[in-house]
Amino acid sequence: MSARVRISLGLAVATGAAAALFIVDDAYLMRIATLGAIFAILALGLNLTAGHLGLFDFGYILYFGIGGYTTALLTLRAGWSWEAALVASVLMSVAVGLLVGVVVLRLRGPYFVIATFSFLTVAYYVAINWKEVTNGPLGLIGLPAPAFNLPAIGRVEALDPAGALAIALTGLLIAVAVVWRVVESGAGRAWHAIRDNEDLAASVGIDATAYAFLALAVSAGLGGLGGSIYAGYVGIVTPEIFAFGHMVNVLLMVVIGGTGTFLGPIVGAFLVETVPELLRVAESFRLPIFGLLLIAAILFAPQGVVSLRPWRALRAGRPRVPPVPPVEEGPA
Amino acid sequence: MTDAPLLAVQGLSRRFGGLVALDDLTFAIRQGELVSLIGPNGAGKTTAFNLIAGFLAPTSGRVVYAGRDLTGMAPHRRARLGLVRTFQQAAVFGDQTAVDCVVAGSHVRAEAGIQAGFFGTPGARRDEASRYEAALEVLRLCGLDSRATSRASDLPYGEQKVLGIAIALASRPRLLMLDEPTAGLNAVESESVSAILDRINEQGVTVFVVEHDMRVVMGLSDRVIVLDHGQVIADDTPDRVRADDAVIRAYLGDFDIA
Ligand SMILES: Nc1ncnc2c1ncn2[C@@H]1O[C@H](COP(=O)(O)OP(=O)(O)OP(=O)(O)O)[C@@H](O)[C@H]1O
Ligand SMILES: [Mg+2]
Repeated sequence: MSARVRISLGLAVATGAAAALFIVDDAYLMRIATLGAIFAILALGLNLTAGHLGLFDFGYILYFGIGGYTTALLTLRAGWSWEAALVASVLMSVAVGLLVGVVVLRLRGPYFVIATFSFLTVAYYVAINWKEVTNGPLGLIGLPAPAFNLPAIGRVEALDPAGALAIALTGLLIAVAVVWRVVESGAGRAWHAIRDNEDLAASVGIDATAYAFLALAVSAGLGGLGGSIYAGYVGIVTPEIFAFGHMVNVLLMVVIGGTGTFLGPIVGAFLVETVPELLRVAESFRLPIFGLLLIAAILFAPQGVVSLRPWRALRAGRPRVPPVPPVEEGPA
Repeated sequence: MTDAPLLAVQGLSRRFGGLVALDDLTFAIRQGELVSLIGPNGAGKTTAFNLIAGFLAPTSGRVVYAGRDLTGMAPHRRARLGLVRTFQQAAVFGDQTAVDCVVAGSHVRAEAGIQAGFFGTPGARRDEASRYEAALEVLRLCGLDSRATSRASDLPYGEQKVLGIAIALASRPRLLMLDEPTAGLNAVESESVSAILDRINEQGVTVFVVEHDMRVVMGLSDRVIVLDHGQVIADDTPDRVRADDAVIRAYLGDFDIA
C-alpha cells in the first residue's frame, strides 16, 4: 500500500469510527474518544521534534500546561470567551516555545533532554508556588465549557459528551492539517536531513537552527491547542497538568504508534487511551497487563504499530511458488 | 577584480591544545581551477577543510571567498554562497533513499518555495517534481541511478561515498571541496569519481580535492598543494611537485609518489 492509500484508508476508518460514536451516543465511549483526540494533538506535536527533527523534547507537556493555564486565567480572571482564550493559548505556547528554544536548541542529545525536562520541572513548581496567579496546588476551577460555531453545524458546546467530542475532533483535524502541510512543505525534508546527519545538512546549506525553531514553535503551538481544549473540557487546571505522567503517556503514544510517521502518533494516542479501558475487565491486573502489552509492542513493533504490515505476514505464511529448477548443464 | 582568486586562505592556523594542526597556512584558488591538496596522514588536510568550510574556528588567520571575509560565518551560510564540502568518512542521510538524499542536497535551491509548499500550490508541486527529476539526473551522473530507491545506509561503503558527492553536487556548488573522495572505493568506482570531477570542473565548478591516489592527483590537477606538519611545503604544477625535493622527503617511506 502506498502512503496515499494508507492515509485515505486511515481517514475513512477514522470518519467511520467517529460517526459510529456519535450514533451509539454512549457517554463513556465518547469520553475515551475525546481524551484520545486531545492527546493525539499532543502526540502529533511531540512527534515533530522527537520524530521528525530527532531532538527528544522530554518537557513537551510544558506547552500543554501553558495552554491550560492561559485558557483558565483568561476565561476566569479576564472574562474572555473560550474561543478567544484558545487562540491566545496557542500564541502563548508558541512564544514560550521560542524562548525555551533559545536555551535548549544550543544543546543536543542527553543535554537537550535534560534541559527540556528542567523547564517542565520549573513550570510545575511555579504553578504550585505562585499562588496569587495560579491559586497554587488547588488550581483554577470552574472554567467555562468550550463552545464555538462550526460552519454548517452551528453552535457546538462541550456541555454534553457529543459536543465535547466534536470539539476535540475539530482540534485534532486542525492539528492534522497543520502537521501535514508543514511536513509536506519542505520543512519535513529539512528536519529529516538534520535528524539523519546535521553536519551533512549544514554542508549543503540547511539552517539547522532555523528549522529547529520552526519545529519547536509548531510543536509548542499544538501543545497549547491540546492544553486549552483539555482545560475547557475538564473545567479545572491544577499544577498536575505539568505532571510527568502526562509526559510519559504522550511519549508512549508516539513510540507505540510510530516515531517520525504521520499516522503513528494518532493511532498511538487512541491505543494508549483505549487499551487500559478495555482491560478494566481484568480488574487489578489491568496495569500489569497493560505494561506487558507495551513491552510486547516495543519488541514486536519497534518502529511503531503503523509500521506493521500484517498482510505481508499473511503472504509470507502462504506456500511460495517453487523456485525454478536449475538448468541442467549438458556435456560440452 | 577579475584576477581576484575565488578562495584565498590567509595565515590560517589552528591549535588543538598543544598540537599545532595548521601553521600559518596561505594559498589561493582561482575560479575554474582543479587543485589537489596532498600530504601524509595527520598533515592537517581535513582540518584545513573544516576551517575553510566553517566547521571549526581558526586560532588565527582568515578565509576570503568571492571577495568576502568569511570569519565567523556558519557552515550553512558558506554553503549558500556555493562553498560546499564533502566528508572524509562517508556521510549520507542514512534513513532516506538515495534519491531523497540528493533531493535534500538541493533543499536550499528550493527554499523560496517553502511557503508555497505549505499551501500545496500547483507551482510548488511542479517544483518538487522537477527537483526529483534533477536528483535522478545527478544520480545518473554519479552512476548511482540503479540505487535511487535503496536506503542510503544499506548501500556499500563505496557507494555511500559517491552518494555523498551526489548530495554535494545537488546543492550546485561554485567551489566544491572533496575530502578523499576515492578513499574506500574500488578501482572502477575510483575511475568514475575522477571522471565526475573532471566533468564538473569542465562545467565551470572550481574543485579543491584532498586525494591520496597519485594517479588521480597527477592526471586531473591544474595545481597541487602539499601539506606537511600543518605547513605548505609545495604549491605548483603536478610535474614540478613530483620533482620537488621537500615533497619527496615528506613522503619518503609513506607512499610511492611516482
Ligand atoms: N578535533 C580534534 N581534536 C584534537 N586533535 C585533532 C582534531 N582534529 C584533528 N586533530 C589532529 O590534528 C592533526 C591533523 O589532523 P587532520 O585530520 O587534519 O589530518 P589529515 O591530513 O586530514 O590526515 P588524514 O590523511 O589521516 O585524513 C592530527 O594530528 C590530528 O590528530
Ligand atoms: Mg583527513
